Amino acid sequence: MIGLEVLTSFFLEAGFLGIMLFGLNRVGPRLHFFATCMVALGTILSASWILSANSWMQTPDGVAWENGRLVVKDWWQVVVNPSWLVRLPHMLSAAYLTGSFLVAGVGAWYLLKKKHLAFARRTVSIGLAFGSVFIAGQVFIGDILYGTMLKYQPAKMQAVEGFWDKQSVSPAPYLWVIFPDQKNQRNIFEFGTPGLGSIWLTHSLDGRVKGLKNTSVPDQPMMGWVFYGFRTMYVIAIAMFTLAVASLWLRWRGKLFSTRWFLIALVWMTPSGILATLGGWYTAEIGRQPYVIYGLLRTADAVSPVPAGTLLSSLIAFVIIYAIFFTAFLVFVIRAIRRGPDELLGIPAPSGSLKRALRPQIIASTLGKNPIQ
Amino acid sequence: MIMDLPVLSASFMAGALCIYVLLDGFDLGVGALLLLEPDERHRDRMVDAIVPTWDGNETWLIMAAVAMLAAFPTAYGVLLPAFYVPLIVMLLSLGLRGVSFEFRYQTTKFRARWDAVFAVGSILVAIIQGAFVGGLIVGVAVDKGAFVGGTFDWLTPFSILFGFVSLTGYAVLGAGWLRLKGEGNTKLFAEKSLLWVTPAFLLLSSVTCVVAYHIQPQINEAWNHHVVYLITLGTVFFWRDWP
Repeated sequence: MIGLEVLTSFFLEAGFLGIMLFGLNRVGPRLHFFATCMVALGTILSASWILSANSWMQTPDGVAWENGRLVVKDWWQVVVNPSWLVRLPHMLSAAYLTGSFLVAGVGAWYLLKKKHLAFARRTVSIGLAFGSVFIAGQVFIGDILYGTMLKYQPAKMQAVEGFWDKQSVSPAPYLWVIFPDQKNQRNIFEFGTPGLGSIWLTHSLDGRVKGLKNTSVPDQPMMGWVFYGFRTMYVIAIAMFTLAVASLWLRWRGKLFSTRWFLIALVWMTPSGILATLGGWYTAEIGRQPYVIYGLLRTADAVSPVPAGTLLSSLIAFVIIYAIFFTAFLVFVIRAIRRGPDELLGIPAPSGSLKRALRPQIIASTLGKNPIQ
Repeated sequence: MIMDLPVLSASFMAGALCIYVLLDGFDLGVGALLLLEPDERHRDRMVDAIVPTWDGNETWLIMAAVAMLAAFPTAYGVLLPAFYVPLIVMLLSLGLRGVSFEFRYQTTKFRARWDAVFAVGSILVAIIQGAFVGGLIVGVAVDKGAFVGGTFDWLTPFSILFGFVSLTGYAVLGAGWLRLKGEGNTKLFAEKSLLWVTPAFLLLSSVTCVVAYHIQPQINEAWNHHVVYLITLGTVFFWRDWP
């Protein structure tokens, strides 16, 4: 399956990315646009296959145990497993949301600093337009996915809501903060909005929510990680939704670019999509424990023969090197944002370096016009 | 039937690997040669020569690895733990390369440092890929379809020797690429490098072949005298092009 992914997407991406980044002068705007679309298509295909593989690990289908080995019975069922077609749009909208709020946040920062105003208005406007559409869709898709997971992985969703007892109190609160004590199967501390849990989770005024004790202890995921992973994603989704609604109101009143509190909120939301995506993946992956392939293969049975010490050293090496990458990345991104679009365009194109020479055109083409004019 | 599925899969894998070695070989080689070029503007030209293609080239390595995972899961399951350390170092080095590639253009003050990271990353990748092959020739301890050796079994004098074979081999490819694509100083630098990289590669690979004969008798039978012919052919071409 990953083989197909490499074939379809990596080559599509790598090949056309070259044309996209270096080719505008050589192939003309139409073919360049085509190449840009192909890069996007490659990325979406890549996401599809990755999500298919991961969804199969979450909700496996189409396989059977034979003589101690998992044998594929039906490849179609493996690829189109029960959660793929819900998780794929969920992840894609998450990616679009991340991009939308990132762009809107940078634009809002320029507006607050009264710099690059024309550019900033465009980015805030476009970012919020896309963001509003996708957060509306995301709330809908998220709800469907919640139902899917409730059906296939009840233990994960029990951990998500933070209750331990088989049936919670009635009416159930919606918990925001918990200090779980996994060993004694209880919360040391919990804080929630009374009654809201019943309304949101059971769609009634006095419904009870199922707790993690419905799952036997050896099959339970770690509640704290799953709970806070989900809460991170959920709270950010609420914030995005609120801002999207506010943006529609402000746009209608013609105050989208002048409402200070709104712009400050947008700046704070710049990295929100990344955090929400991380929270969602923590929920998905830790909530699947103790299984690596849900219901079929336990993580403990899937360990490799590599000694633990070696694994630990490699993990540390990854953490250190990625920390360096991330720091350098942040430095460059923040510097690029500080410089702003005009100065970036103002850098004279040195001869010889295609990449630097073409940068203005890349920005110009993403804006849809040439801002130098 | 001669062309059954395992043979087809293996040929596919071998094909992907060959393409990888040839394609990524030259940009790894250019990366390694960066260390020898003190002038930053000349280094810019060298990197520019590989910018458009390098990430496409590396896709072939993923292709080969995935083909192995899909077609020969047992071999994959043995080799991954057996070569865990070199594989991780290779991945991290490839990461360092990819990142320094992008970051060197973002800065003028630290460009030399990112170039150094790029060069060291390239050299590590080149050496480790050779060491991998060397380790394979020496052999891997397997029992009942699982790896049973130690973490550093792959690290032998022979695998290190092989690492330098691949490093010099890639350097030849890289210098050849620069000679083909470069102009002026870059071309001159490439020609100068070829003069010593090529004999170094020929010498090292000859020595390695002789040692490999002694380490693995099986290779003796499989290779027969082909390698001798290949080295002779390589030397002839080298002499023909001697300026």
